[in-house]
Amino acid sequence: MVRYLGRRVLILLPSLLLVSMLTFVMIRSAGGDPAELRLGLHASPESLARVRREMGLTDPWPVQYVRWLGGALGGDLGRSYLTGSSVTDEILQRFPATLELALSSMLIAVPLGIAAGTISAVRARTVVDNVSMLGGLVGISIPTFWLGVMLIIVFAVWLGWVPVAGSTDVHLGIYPITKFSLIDGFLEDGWDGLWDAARHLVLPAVTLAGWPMAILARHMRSSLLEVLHQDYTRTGRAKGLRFVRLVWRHAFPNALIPVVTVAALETGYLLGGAVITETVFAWPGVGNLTIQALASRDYMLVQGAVLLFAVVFALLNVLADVTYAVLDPRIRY
Amino acid sequence: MDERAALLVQDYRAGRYTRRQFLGKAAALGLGAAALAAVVEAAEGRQVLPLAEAAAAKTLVVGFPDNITNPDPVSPIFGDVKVTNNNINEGIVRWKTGTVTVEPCLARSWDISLDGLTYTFHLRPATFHDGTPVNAQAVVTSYQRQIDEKNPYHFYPMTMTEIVFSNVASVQAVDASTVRITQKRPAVNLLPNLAVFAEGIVSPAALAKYGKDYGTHPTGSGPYGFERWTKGVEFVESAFPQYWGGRPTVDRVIWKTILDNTVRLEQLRTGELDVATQLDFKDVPSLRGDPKLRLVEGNLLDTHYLIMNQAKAPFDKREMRRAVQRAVNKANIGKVAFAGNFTTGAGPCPPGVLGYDPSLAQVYTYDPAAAKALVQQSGAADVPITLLHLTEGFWPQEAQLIQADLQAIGLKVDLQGLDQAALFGKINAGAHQIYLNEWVMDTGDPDDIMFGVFSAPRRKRMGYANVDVDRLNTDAQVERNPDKRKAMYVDAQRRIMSDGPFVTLGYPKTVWGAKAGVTGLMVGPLGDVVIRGVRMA
Repeated sequence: MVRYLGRRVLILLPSLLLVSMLTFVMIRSAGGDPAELRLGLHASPESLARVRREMGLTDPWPVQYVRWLGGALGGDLGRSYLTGSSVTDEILQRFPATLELALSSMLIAVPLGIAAGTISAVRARTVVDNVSMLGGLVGISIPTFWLGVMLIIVFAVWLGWVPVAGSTDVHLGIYPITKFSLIDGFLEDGWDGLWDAARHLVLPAVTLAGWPMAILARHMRSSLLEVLHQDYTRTGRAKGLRFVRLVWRHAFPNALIPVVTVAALETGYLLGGAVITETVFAWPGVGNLTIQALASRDYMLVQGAVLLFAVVFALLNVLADVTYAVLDPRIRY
Repeated sequence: MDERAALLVQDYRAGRYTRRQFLGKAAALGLGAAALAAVVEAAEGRQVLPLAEAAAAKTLVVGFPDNITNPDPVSPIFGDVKVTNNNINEGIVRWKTGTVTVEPCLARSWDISLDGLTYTFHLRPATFHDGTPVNAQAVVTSYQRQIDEKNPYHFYPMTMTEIVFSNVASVQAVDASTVRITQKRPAVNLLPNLAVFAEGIVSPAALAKYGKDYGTHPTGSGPYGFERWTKGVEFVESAFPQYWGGRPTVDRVIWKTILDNTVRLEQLRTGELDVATQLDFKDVPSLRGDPKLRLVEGNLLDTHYLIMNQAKAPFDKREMRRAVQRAVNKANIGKVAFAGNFTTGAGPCPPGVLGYDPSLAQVYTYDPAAAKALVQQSGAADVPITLLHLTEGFWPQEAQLIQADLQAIGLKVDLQGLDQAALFGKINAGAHQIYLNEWVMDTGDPDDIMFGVFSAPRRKRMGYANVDVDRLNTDAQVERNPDKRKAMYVDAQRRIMSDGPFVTLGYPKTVWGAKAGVTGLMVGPLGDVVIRGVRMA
């Protein structure tokens, strides 16, 4: 296992290098340049040239890339054009909020999605199955921005159960110690603070959970159906195993394996910054930051953020592989 | 601190209360904001105390659709301008709130030499938030860091340098309270230029202390001092007791970036926000009857326009440019895309700026039949046209309305939506035929749009050149008589309109919402949100 993990991490390095190169080229090929955006349309060619030089954009691409890579290897991702601050700081300041939101959503999506998929498979082609799969279809089809705003109108505006947006009550003045709003709320204001943070978290988490929940339910259903039609389950039934036990002990864990991969990928997507949800709920995550960086051609910030997403994705995949071994005794690394 | 407060602090430290309980009890003792501040400082060992003040003091929560990126006055990002300009940082001169009239600020007064070249500013006694004095050297440092690339505080590219300092020969500290600016030519827009957001005076001590991370500790001499900034969450400022103009009445301002218009509005309705800027025009009618809310309306200095590239067919033909001028139904754009919150276009100078002349709207009236005839005369009706526009907000709709108007006179028009970076890239490369955009004034002076768009740095924006317009724009920069100066700008606008490359579509208004008890708030014509004069019931 250790050797396997070591190998996986080694393979990771060239992929990250490739990702960083691709990002570097793509953001520079997107048209427009940061100096033009910064100066607006009235700038003289001399001003533009000066700002380009100050931003280090006048060197050839390979020189710029090697300079960036040199810094990145030492943990320095450069300074954002937009904020003037270190890219590493910018991302680390925002990432906890994204992580908190993504994990909360998956905490909702994984159990519910798997449960719905399991019930659908076990009761395949019944009313329960149809209702559950229709729910899944709705979950996949509803645009997040619409779902988010609807949830706000119903639960925050009409019912007044939760706040409209934000991650804390501004009047509580919660200090960002860990930058996880639940933990900070608890540290600063005890159970009251935790409750306040949770009330802020619930709507964005539910909004974000809709899509992965539906995807997981569909995968779980088809995967479990497949397993239920295999020889060993038939044998199990033939020798008189109770259906519940058969599903729970024999079919379910095997059916879970492909679902784990999907869950890991979905978590990866959410960690890439749930841009729309973060925007709607004014959630202080990296998604928002990345979009802003892209729009303003903040090359340094974009490169740093994409690199972070690539690392997260890769690590989640390793995690999924490790989970297989736990779930399925036949898999050994 | 009285005995009860001391006991309370003891109990809180011993963990007998949660923070909220503690603050509630502290407020219940009837302590004022300042006393409460002292209590919490004693209890928690920190200077700032959020709920404490909220309980006893006036906190204004402002939601706005801009990101805060770097609250250094030299940052040109809208969100940064709002939190800093005339709140944290003040210039030696400033705009009278809600206008673009220059008034004294850190400079009590100034003398202008007879030749108009030398401006001598006399500073008033004032203090930065870090306790250091505002003196002539601080003013010189704040300017020099923009002018001189080698200056140790020139941390990143500073973008207003060209606009503000192109006529400036030198900036000197004559003595501790006197600054002298010498110009290369007697430009009259120096004062408005020095009132621009980027010219807010920054504490040199803070620049030295924080270096490139100054933006995380912005320090000025304005009515509000920086308290804390949780990126992406909130930016908090609190009243500065030593402000030269007297402590402002709102004790604390919390700025929150809320990008989604609907969400910002609902937060205003539920009371999570006290002020929401830039409301969606479609929501405005539903707010008018709400007794809990107030609408704050005003003009941004903003001109929506179409620019035709005279270097490209079919707009190399003047008939074609004039046809477009007559074909676009400006009033309809105001009605449909801005729900009527729109002044129909006259000349490039927007209302509120010297040189605005409503009679210029009569130069080209909406007349599709005449436009059609002009298209026929031009003989270029078959040339396909691509109209470039931005993809956010009202832009696609505005572009579609224009497309329909142009198709109605027989032109073949395609739309191409781009993000700002890509649009600027195309324009600066001269790769456009016609594009739709806006000019948001950087300063309150007509020179900003007149010279900036039509004369100055000769970018390929329009493929436009008119020596008479250039002469008028350049002469107007040094004309001291406002009436003569206005006449020059009106003359220049008429000439530009006669050439026809610039369609002034109109000038959108801006509407903010506030709780009914919030008074004294005014729309800043340059996008500024000045809290100084605001009161809360």
